[in-house]
Amino acid sequence: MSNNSVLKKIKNGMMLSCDTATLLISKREFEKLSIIDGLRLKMHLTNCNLCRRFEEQSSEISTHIKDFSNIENPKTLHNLSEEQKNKLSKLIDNK
Amino acid sequence: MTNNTDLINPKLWISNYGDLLYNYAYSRLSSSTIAEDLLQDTFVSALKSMENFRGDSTEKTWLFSILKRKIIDYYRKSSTRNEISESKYKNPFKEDGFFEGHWDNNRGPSNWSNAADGQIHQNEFQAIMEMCLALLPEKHKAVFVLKVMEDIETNKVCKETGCTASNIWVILHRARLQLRECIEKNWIDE
Repeated sequence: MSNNSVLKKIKNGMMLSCDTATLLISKREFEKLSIIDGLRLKMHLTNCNLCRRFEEQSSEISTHIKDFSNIENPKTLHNLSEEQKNKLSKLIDNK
Repeated sequence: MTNNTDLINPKLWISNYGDLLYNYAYSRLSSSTIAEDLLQDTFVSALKSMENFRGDSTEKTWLFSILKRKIIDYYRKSSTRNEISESKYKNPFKEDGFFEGHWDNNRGPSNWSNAADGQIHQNEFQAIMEMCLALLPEKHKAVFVLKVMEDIETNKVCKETGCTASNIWVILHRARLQLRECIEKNWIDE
């Protein structure tokens, strides 16, 4: 084993990669992480500027998604055309 | 006893809820044709099951619950047609070397604060978000829409789309990485 791969092994044992850290960030939104994963993620985020950014942006995306999933107060972007409305009205009337 | 016809009036469905239902479907299906099809199916099912409507919920909530079921059905069918194929998207992490798994050069998240400081235009964001969703591989989109947008239980999402309790997180992770990068390219850089 080369020196490089020994170092890599040690590093991977101790630290999460950004790949795994961001996966845990996505997962954490829906499920509680194990204590070990939670700690490793916390440690990673303390040191990794880019993953902290990912965390912020990810939650920003989720907030937006929740906003336009809200059926009581929707921000409607797409409307039915008159043609579509007529077609659907006919369908309802004929039943 | 209340008559169902007091609570439900199909003649007003299109004018009262047509755009809302259509917009909801469109944002999850990225297609006007499919959204329109599902709306038709929704109204047909609603007319058939009108008698069972007991007024426990509002007419609007009831119609939305039917549409939501149609969206699940749609993605169940599309998932059996589509395998989790290798998407063209490459994860933004280094594939080898000492820094394997770290953000690849120039593909890490940029600073969004300039764009976020000002008023975030909800409609603009939604438009870009929808465009980026449309670019996801079908199977990833199915899992993302059902889990993240529809907030359906993990087990049920897996049952409908054929994912497993472990690979669902990998799929969602890839979908989110791709979405984030797409949003950044199209929204922040403008």
